[in-house]
Amino acid sequence: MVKRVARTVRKYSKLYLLFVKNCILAEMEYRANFWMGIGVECSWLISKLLYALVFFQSGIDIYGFSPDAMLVFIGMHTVMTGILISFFWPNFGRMTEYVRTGTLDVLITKPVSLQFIVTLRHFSFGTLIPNVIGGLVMIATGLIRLRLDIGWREISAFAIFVALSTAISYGLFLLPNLLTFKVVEMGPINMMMSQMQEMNNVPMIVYSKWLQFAGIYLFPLFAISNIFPLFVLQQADPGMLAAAFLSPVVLLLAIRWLWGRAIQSYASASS
Amino acid sequence: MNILGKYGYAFLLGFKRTMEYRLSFFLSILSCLFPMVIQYYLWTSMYAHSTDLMIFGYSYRQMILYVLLASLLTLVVSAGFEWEIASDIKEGGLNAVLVRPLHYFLYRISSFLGGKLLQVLLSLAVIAALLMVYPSIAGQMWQLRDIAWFAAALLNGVVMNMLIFYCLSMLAFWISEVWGVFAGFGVVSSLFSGGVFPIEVFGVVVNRLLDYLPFKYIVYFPVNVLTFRVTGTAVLEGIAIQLGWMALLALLAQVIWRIGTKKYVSIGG
Repeated sequence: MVKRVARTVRKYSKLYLLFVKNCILAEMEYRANFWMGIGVECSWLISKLLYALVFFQSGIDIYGFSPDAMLVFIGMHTVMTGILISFFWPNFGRMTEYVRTGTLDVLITKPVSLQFIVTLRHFSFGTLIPNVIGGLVMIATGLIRLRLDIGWREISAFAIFVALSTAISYGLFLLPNLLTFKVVEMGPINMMMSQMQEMNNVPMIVYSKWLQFAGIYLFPLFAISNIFPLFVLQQADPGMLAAAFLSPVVLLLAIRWLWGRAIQSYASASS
Repeated sequence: MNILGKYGYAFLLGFKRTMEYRLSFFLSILSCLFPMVIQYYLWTSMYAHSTDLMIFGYSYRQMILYVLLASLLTLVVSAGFEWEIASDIKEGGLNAVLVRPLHYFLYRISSFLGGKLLQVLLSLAVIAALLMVYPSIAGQMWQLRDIAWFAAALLNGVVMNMLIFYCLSMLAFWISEVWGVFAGFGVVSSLFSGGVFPIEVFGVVVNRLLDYLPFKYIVYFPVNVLTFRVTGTAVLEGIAIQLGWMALLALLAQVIWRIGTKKYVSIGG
């Protein structure tokens, strides 16, 4: 059993690396597009930095969080935005097309998990670079200005929370995309999700208590970008940490089950 | 069919197209609520924790009204036809319009405005509701004259933004992959027009630079007319500057169109 799981993990890891390599090669074929993508992401990065500018220009501490602490929150959100739009959006955005054009019929015949190939086949390197670099610089700047250590403990915590937040992002943003098997036009739904995700442009502490509760425990949108900064600033309570670890498990299990249900109801484009 | 007739039909077709996807339309309206929610909570918590009554020169009431109105006005003035124009130029759709007795820009803009009509009406209804919730600001009540100045400034802002994006869309005559320019410019122009935050947050130097650019007259100026931050002769001055920009942009659009259509090669379509 363990051997079989290890073999499957190895197979899918290898396949995923091939997908990534393939996508990077494809991006490099159209260099102008690649640089243009980086330019667009830089403009979005400026819009995120504007929130930091507002905090720094006003110099106001909100619930004891200084502008430097706010920068850590915005940095984490920037990193997670980079991951979301590089690893997941290029796939989720294609799902409608797969259904409409019948490409899904071909993908079903591949000897790998359909969910894996549909939701993880594409990757955008260009959109990842500015967000991850910009986000890391913001986090490091915030922590240094707060005179907090950046040691192995913080780096490990960052890696763990990024992994957990990535899993939450995958589950949370794939969830509405399962409607693709029922709805023709998914653009507005994804636009709404994207706008909703922008709520993490500011730390969740600015929102009302019930919104914070809902955003951590019911629909863990705030868990994506807020728990690592709260942890590193020693403000995360045990409930939040539990949510950060449990949400990915619950979401991934729910997605797996719902995916199966959605596929069962799928009627081929040609049928 | 008279001139008004054909563009009227293009307008009607645009409107009908939006109505075909009603759910999409309402979801896109719902999406617009999120930026307002973010701004409301952000500024409410900032003012609650500030020792000063004014932040960036705005009182709490002025700021909330500013960010809510700016979010709505960004929706009203937003373009979107640039993608269609670029696609027409790249894929040859322009051929079909060039051989018809139509002015291309008027045709595109009519169709676009038809598609936008409901969104604009809804936004204006929310603005009217906001004015009822806040019947006065900074000790001043809104008069019909203030609303009229605001309407004039807003209308000019809409035309200015349309002309800017029309000029930009014609880059497609020279660049085949123009999406990055549209997307990047859209974000930057939204920031500089004051669509996200009042432009005072940029500091003195950037503000001085913005005085020489058209962006702040698109959202920032109309909102400030309504919130009484711009009053008296400054309103007339601002409207005159808007008219100047409109004339300049219209001229620029005409020049780019002439040069672009000479370069245009009708392939595809």
